[in-house]
Amino acid sequence: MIILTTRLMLVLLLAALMATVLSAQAETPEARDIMTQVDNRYTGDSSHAEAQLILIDRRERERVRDLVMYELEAEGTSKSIVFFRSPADVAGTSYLSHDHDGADNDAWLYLPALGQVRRVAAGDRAGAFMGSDFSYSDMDGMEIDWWQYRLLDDSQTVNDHPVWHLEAVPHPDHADQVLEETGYERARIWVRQDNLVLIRGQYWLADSDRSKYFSASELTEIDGIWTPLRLQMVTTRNGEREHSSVLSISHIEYNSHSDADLFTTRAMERGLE
Amino acid sequence: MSLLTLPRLLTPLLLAPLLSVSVQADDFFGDVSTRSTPQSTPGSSISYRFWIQQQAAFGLADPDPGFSRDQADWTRFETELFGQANHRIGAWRLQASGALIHDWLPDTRDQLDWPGYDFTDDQEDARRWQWRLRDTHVSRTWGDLWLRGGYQTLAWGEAETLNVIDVAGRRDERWPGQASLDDLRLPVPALQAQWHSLDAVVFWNDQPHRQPAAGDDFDPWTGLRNAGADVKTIDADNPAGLALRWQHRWPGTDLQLIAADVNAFQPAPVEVRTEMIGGQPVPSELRLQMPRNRVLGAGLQHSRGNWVWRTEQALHTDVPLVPEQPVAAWPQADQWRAMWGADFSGWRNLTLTGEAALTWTPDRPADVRQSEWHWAQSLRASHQSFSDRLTLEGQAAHLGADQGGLLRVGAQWDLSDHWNLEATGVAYVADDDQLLDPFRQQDAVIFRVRWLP
Repeated sequence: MIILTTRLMLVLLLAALMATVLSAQAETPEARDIMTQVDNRYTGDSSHAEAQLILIDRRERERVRDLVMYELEAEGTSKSIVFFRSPADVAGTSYLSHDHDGADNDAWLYLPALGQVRRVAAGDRAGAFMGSDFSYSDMDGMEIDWWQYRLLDDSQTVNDHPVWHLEAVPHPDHADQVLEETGYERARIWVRQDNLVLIRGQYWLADSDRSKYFSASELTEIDGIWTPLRLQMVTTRNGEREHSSVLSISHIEYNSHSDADLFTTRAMERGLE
Repeated sequence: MSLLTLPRLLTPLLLAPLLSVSVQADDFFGDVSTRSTPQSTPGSSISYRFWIQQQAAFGLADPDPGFSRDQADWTRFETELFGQANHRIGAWRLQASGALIHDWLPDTRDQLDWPGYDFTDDQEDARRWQWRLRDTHVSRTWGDLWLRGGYQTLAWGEAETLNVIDVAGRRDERWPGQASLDDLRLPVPALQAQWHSLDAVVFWNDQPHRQPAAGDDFDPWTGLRNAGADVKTIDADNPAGLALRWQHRWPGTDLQLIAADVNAFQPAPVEVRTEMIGGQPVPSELRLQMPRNRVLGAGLQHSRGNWVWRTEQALHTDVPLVPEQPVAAWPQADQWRAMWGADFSGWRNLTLTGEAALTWTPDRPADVRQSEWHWAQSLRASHQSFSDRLTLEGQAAHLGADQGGLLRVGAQWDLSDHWNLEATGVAYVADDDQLLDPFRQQDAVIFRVRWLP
């Protein structure tokens, strides 16, 4: 069971390289085992979070979006919905995702100016989520079996915590899907060994001189679930920081709701109850 | 170059072999400092939205004779103050919104040096300070039943060149192709009920699309008015309407079925009164009325990869058709309307939207302009960049062989969370025998600035 923030991290964790050298290297069983543990980490049957998404350009100018996020694990489908509360030009906007096991995801966007819910193409999910450095696919989650993993180092530490350092490349059978839905061509990630939380990731965008750096911090144990309250993604180009996004969670609770009606296009039209 | 500078320039080169990927990456893993402080307002029952918008539009060409504007000139200089408040009281939700709007152009002509042009009384009235109610309603849930009553915007269709299943879509048609998205759709009085997959809406739609004032750039009856005729919109025979919608969603596919018995929002001539002048009958009064429209239709969307495919199909009964001689009661006929469209979003941040729409009138009356098979097409490209700060959009629409088309390009720049800038250019394309011909000289550029506190 995976909540939004954890799935976000997992997707970033799974982003990978199609470069010939790396794809020729076989997956290590140990890395697959680590990833399976990460995927199986219990993160609640449902969650409700309030957060700020802060967008920062290279001149340090900030734009701030207040969000309310809900997640629910249903039979074979992870559902999430995000409502934007501010600023005024995006208030009322919502994004709904149904992440089906073994099938294409479904996603819809509601724009209050249109007064209409519109289905979003899967390809859109490689695009920026509401102008942030997180993509729609980062928010949606992805199939663990689409990737191959290799353990690079198990003796590193990050902030004094032992971590596994892994590399991920798309599985040859799913390379097209990975490229289409994430835009990533390879990744290196760092997973804390004590709680299986992804705390760092570096992702290379296909056909681009850009790469993205993910970091999770302010880890707090809430209801027995390790939760990073600050998620950050920095986009760089030719080694220079181009844009950054920070998702700062001010409130989160697990297993506090189980209302499937919240994860419908009708709920998007009705707005935040 | 001094010797003091040289070592500093060489340092990165000397250190480069020593840097590992992870060490270099560490620079971007550190916390990015932000000025914003996390806010938590769980349980907050009241929320607000406000903005102030200034819009200016310039008509690029001399219009055909008959319109108030007789030269390339400003067409409006409009200030809009928009406000919306939402309040939650227990299970009840209240929303109130509206806009205070004023066009300063007549004032400017009267008080400043701008020579301008003459406005009709109707134009002056329409441009004075006006309060326009936007979505204002009360809603509540009882178990599986959800009710919302009040003034509300209902958008049921996505076709851009033809109304297929958008049976509740009242619009502002004063400046076709020039309105911003926020101003385009208008709410209607309605009571909406949702129960499981079914929507039922009872309308009180006695207001047509918002029409241009007499003498405005897109007044369709300006020739008739200048000839001395009075153009009146009379009440609908039955303002009440009912629409039903059933929706179902499967993985990858959305389906909706629609049945409606409503008033169409586009008024059509139902009566022409004449008087004898010089022994000839001359129209003295034209009466328009919202026609009754019965619709049975379906909408289907399917996504696969980078594509979203969509179609809308509907039977419309008793649709008024423009006759060769439009100053007459318009004959009516049943129509089959269809739209096929696709969105493609597989290349960077570009979205392409294409649409083809068909109107089939099998029992087409004689002497109407529209052919039995009437096609319209639209192609739109939208590109977002600079982290969604800049949106560029271009659209070409061909509205049919008897109508003409338009070209539209626009750019929107989000300067910050508080300032948005927008510039749009619209060109109208029509031949002598097409419906848009009187408006082909109304090409315009529109500038908007919006401040959001």
